[in-house]
Amino acid sequence: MSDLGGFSMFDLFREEAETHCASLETGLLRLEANPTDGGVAIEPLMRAAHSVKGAARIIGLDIAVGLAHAMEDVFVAVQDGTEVLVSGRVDQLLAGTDLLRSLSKIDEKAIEGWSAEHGSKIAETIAGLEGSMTVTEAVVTEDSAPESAPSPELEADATETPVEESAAAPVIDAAVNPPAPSAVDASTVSVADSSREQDEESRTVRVDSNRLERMMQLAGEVMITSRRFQGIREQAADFDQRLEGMESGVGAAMRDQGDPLHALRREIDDGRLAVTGLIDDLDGLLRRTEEISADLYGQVLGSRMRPFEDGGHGFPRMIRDLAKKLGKKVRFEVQGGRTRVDREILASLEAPLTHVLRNAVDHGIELPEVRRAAGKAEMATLTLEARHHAGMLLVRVREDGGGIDPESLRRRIVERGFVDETMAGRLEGSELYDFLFLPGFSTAAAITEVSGRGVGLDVVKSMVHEVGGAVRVESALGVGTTFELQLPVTRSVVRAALVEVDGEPFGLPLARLSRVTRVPASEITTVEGRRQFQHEGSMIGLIRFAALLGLPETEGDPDVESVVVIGDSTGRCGLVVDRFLGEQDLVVRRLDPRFGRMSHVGAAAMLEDGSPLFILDVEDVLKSIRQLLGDGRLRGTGRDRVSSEVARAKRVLVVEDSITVREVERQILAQMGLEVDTAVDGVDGWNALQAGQYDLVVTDIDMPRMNGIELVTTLRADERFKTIPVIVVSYKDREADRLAGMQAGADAYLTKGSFREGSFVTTVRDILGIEA
Amino acid sequence: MNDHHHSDDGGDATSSRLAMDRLLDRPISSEALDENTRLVGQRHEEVEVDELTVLITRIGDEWLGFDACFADRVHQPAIIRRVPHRNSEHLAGVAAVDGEIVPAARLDLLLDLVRDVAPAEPRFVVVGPPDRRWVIPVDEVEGMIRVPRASIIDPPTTVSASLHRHTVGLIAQGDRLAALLDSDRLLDLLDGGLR
Repeated sequence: MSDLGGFSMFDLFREEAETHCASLETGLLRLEANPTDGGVAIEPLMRAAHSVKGAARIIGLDIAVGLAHAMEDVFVAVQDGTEVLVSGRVDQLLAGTDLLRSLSKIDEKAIEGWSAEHGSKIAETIAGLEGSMTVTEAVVTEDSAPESAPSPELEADATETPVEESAAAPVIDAAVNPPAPSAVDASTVSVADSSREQDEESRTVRVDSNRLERMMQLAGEVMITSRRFQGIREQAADFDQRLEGMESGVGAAMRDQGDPLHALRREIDDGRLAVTGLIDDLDGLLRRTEEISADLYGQVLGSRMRPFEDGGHGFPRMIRDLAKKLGKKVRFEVQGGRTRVDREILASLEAPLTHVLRNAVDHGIELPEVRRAAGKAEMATLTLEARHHAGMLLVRVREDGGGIDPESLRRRIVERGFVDETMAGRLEGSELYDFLFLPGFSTAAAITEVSGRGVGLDVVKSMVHEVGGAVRVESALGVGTTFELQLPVTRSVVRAALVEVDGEPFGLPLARLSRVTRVPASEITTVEGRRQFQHEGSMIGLIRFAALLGLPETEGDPDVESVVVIGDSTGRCGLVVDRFLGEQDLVVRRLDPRFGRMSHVGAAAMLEDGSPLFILDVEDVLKSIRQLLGDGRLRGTGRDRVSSEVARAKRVLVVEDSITVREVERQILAQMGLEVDTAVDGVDGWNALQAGQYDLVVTDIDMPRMNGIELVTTLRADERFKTIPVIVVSYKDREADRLAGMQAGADAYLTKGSFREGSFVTTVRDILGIEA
Repeated sequence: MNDHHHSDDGGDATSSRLAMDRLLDRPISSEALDENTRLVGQRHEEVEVDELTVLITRIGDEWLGFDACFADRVHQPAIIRRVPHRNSEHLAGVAAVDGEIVPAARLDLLLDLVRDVAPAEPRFVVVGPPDRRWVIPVDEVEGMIRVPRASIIDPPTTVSASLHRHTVGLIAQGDRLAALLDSDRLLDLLDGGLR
């Protein structure tokens, strides 16, 4: 097939097919929910099917032409009023859409294979589409006796039934009911019409994300470069002033010397006029360039934002299919679909949201009978809502299902051995629901095929954490459950406080700071050599930021310390910096991957003068402060060196996100006479390893931010940690998991049952060479 | 073959044309294709072997040459920011060049050179492929030169061991020698110090 500037015709077909399939799917689902809309809503569907047909014809893909044609015919019949769309018919059309879509996903070279593989399925679908239309026609036109209408008994023998035999058409799906407007189905999903997207949706093109990133860098560079005009302008103004000085000098000389200098003076005059003109021109150009470059920058930045609904095209379909399969009735609504979300956030939302939505349909929403018995409407409502709130993006998944029974949840927590009965009895609200997010915790009696799949809510939580968000659950028994995901609106721009530490500027995201303040030396007191100051009624310990960041420290305590207070009510501390540089919106850049994991550093950015700076990860800073303070490596005195190491008992780092397991491991190891530090996930563990020397690392596999395998791999790739012994302790006990752990470079792989068997203790002893 | 000779006598213009078409459109054997590919490839190689374009720079007293394929461009010096928790002595920090944030190397420390206290015309040499970019601050950039590969001298044993490790050869320019740096080795060493 011919090439058009690097795009093959097939590429173009693919793009087109993909777009039209998306509108086919949306349109079909909406139409199914509101069958009476037929006349208006069918129009775009016809167009979509027709366009796919045309595109397929251009590249000579007959198999797709036939399918699209059959679909188009159905739409035409519906528009003419000769057919009413029933759920079974929608199934067929969706199946056709899926086939076309799968075609848009393959490589040009794979067409033949694809055709061979799907040929019979396509023929079947086409036959189905053509077949039942005849049924409809038969019913409508002949209006024959109801008994002669197709009966479900004939469903199975599609192959043996000639297509022409209209009444017994090869209907694959048992759900092809006589065309009654209100088809009674096992399930009904209605898609609330909350969007008028297609019409107002501006035309979009796909852009490679790396290219976009580079464009953003260049746009930033243009802005910075345009500011350099200012310097040239000032030079010109300088020059003008010098000319002015010369002019007055000449004027004075002229009074003494007379005539010959007149000409010279005129020349200088002309020169000055020219320079002033140039400066004016430059001024105009300068303003214009600044405007344009700022606009360009804004536009490029804005191109990263997409409407929320772009991220969930597959949701209505998924929920429809799932509800149908489970025999539930669900009305799915999307609210706030136009909310602008960073494309990166949007992409990272899809997997967790899919899981939460499936979970809602599977576990949250009851069967129609149950709902009826409880006095609720049979049709459950499932709402996906997105909105901006307080600088964050809030995404809620709300259903009016059965809610979470706190009692059975408590029972389960006790059964799983997380806490004892008395403790469980005291758990309330979010504390209680937090257990839902623990690895391996599932409330369903049996893991269902639907939302089970080995993916738990713990994965949802870690995925959301990864982009700097949080998850919350609210539930009322019998009333329903709401999952709330709080996410940053964008990861591209962050409002930051700029501080200087040992001569280097750093950005601290404002949202993570509780206070920026200047503390006079007279207000700083010391306790056990640790410096602190009083703030809002509580004492806040001071820590020299330079020590924490591993930068040399500046000398002397000034009269006034510049302090950034971070943390929340459970633990606050003040970071002492050299000075404040102000506030600025920083465009976030990814760190060069060659740096690997960097403690305390979240990203990079550029200042207005074009110089780079690092944006710090305040959560990470806070965590390592707690850790370093805990084991005395950081004392919060005037002069700290993080590296102070003393000869000591063997030290073990436990990396585990479950507080229970972490505690068990810590106690066992402490009883063995070992010094134990803990970290709550891989990143945390990695940071701890940077700061202290350990003789052994004990790590879990499933953890947020950086899992155990990643941690071990990272350790083994680093000269400093190549030889440190690592024991993996995981719930995963399959051989494949064990192999993955060992291949990453672990020295031992134990399951969590090993605490009871005592093999954990033995392994630690063996590795560290301690006597029993 | 005879057909072609016959066509010369102009007896049948159409058939001679057809024969010509046949000759020109005949399928090419894969051996012939391979051979042709080899020939084209070889000629190209010869050009490369023949000459090398080198960017000549100076750090302190030493003249250093970067393979022009490796040294991407020369840039005005910019601010270098130190990196927390990274204290490889070969890493000066990060700098922004053309909107990209790139690590900056201390080649003077790597090669045991003494840099000018205040170089008159300091420059950044941007090296490496896009995903492994570095800037190398130098005291002076002289320019590009083309040197026949054959004229590149093996480094003498008297060159210090540490310099030898990073030098693939010496380029004589008048009475002065420039050390041609080993691009791959340099890049591996620098990248290795980033983690």
